[in-house]
Order: sequence, then C-alpha cells, then structure tokens
Amino acid sequence: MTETLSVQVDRRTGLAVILTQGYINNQGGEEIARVAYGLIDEGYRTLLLDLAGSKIVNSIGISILIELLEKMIELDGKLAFCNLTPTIQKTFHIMGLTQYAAVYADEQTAFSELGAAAAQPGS
Amino acid sequence: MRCLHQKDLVLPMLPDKELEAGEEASELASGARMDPDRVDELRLAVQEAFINASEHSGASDGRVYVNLALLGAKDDPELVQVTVRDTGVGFPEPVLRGTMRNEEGRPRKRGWGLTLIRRLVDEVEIESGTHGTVVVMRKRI
Repeated sequence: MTETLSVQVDRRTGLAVILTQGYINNQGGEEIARVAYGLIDEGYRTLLLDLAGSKIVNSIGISILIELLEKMIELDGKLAFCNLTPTIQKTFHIMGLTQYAAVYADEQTAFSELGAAAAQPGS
Repeated sequence: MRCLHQKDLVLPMLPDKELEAGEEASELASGARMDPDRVDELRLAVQEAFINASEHSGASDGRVYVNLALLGAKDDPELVQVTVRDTGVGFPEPVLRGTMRNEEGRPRKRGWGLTLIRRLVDEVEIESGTHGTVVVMRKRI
C-alpha cells in the first residue's frame, strides 16, 4: 500500500492556495514544503493549505509543516489551513500548530478571514 | 472481558507499511461500530506506533508484529486493542519520554509519536527493553 501526495496550486490576489491530495508523510510534507518555498520565492507571504484531499497524516509530515510555519513567521507571513478532518485538527492542536496558524472550516471562510480576494490575478 | 475476534499481522519495516496496519485497525473498529472520528484517531495512533518501531527499534529481523483484538462481552464489543511489537533494542529514553530536542536544544519538531498515541487512544501500555518494545493501545467503542 503506497500513497503518493500530489499538490495543486491556486494563485490568487494576496495569497496562494496549496491543495493537497494524499498521505502527508515525510515525502508528502517535503513536497508541500518544496511548493511552498517556491511560492515564497515568487513573493507570496500568505499561504493557505487546503487539506480536503488529505485524510491521513503522520507526525513526521506534520513536523515538516511546523518548519514551514516557522519560516512563514520569520518572514512576517501567514500560513493557514482549511478543510481538516477532526483527527487532523486534533493532531495539529496536540503538536502546537494551532497556536501559530489559523484553521478555517473551508476555503471561502479562509478567504474572507484572511482578507484576500477570491479572484484569480488578472481576472 | 473476552476476546471476540483477533488477527495477527507481520509486516516488513518498509515505507508506508504503517498505512496497512492503520487500515486493518480501522476496519476492525468500524466493523464494531466505533464512531468514525474515533476510528481515525485509532488509525493514526497505530500508524505512529508502527513508525516508531520502524524508525527506532533497530530490529534485525526488519519486521513489526501487530495484533488486533476486539474485546468485550458476548455480542457486545467494548474496545479495540492493538498491540504493536518489535524485536529491537528498545526505544531510547528521549523517545519514551517524548522529550526529544533538536541540535540547538530547542523544543523538538520530531519525536511526537508517543505523545500523539497517548492523546489519541484511551489506554496505552509501553514496555521497552533490550529484547524489543511492545506498545498496547486500547480504544473504547
């Protein structure tokens, strides 16, 4: 049984959404971090991780998200999450992510709370 | 309390094999009508125990032994018990205490496995020594 994580990016005005599909283990966490650091290099300082397609995580994958969160804080940026399962949300709470990162029910709530336009750049 | 059903798995310490152990636990708990969110918590706890065995045990046989059991009175399952065992050299003390720190001495990013297990299931027993480690997790239905 293997499950490789795939990632899609939705670039919007003021923030980028990273949509994940699959298991967030060490490889999955590293893939998310790789994509996130690319977006940081493009100038994005607000990133939203939409985990609607990721129902299974492990602590190693989440620890990589903690490193990403630390990087965003260092840059005065924001990392937020949405569409977490109750177990993933509980795990984030146990591991301390929810102290430093906002968690929203869905993308629309995140967009309105983060103050970002939901329109694509140029549209 | 008696054992209503049980199953043994012997899995190699290979990437993503923790998913197989978690899925088996999930199927047993779901079949006993455990709440789906609690099933997910059990699944993650089992995955973490498996990963700990794979990463920290140093077992020369390269295997993790998993026992899944449904316990309760006749026709009335009360809890799922999952035992994850390895034949390694025992977990290092920082892993057992959940106090691993990074090279700069700052609070850890890694080493959350046992902390999560303790928070995600109702009861945990851990025995770790030079002949291996046994983690017994119980979650009520």
